[in-house]
Amino acid sequence: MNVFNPDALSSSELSTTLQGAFDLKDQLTRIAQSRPDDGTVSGFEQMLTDSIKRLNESQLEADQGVIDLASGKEANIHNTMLKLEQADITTRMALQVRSKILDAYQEVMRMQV
Amino acid sequence: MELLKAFQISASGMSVERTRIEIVSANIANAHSTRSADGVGPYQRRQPVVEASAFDKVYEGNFSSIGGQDVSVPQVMDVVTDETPGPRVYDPGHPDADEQGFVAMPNVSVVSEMVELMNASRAYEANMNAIDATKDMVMKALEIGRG
Repeated sequence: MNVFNPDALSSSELSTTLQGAFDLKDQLTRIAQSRPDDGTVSGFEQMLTDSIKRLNESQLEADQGVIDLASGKEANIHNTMLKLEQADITTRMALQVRSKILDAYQEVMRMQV
Repeated sequence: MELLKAFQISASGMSVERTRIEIVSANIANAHSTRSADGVGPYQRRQPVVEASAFDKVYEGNFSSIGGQDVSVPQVMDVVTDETPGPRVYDPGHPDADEQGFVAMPNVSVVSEMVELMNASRAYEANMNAIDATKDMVMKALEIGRG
């Protein structure tokens, strides 16, 4: 097996390895910043925006449900309660996604370079 | 979100049971009404007509089948009047008594209305349990991310 040993490298080999690392970093940056030609945002950023939008929608819907129940527009308590439950579950889901992203970020930041 | 659909299916069942309880309550409340609103005869018991409607007819969104089978949600389509004649009670002093002294009573049987009431409230609970099960599943699924 080829074990990476920095002490055994000559200076030219070291610079090649470093160059490879920088190339990889550039590639990752390009992937992270990549946008399709039609100008729309895609991939991870889009997914995050969409899920935040859905979260907000469910919160607004729950708010409206409570207002409707209080003003007598909605006769069924269970419909309002289900809207609240929906908002609660969506919020929990978003929190889980957030903590996963933060975990991944911290994992990357802890990485030895 | 798919979860919303499971909730909506149960919610439609709960709405129907709520309507049934309202109708049963009206029947019990009018069990001694010897005059109806139009002045002809006693109160006659009401009955809901529940139809299993297509999901997308009741809620917006494109969700007509689960595994190729149609998804139906209950909906109260109509409330009909039970035309069976009620009991006739001999009470000549009653203002609604006929020439022979008989009063036509509503065709409401309080006992069977009570059975209907219990039936509706248990069915409401059953829908509630279905919602709880869905919620529990989601909460358990969210626990995957923890730890």
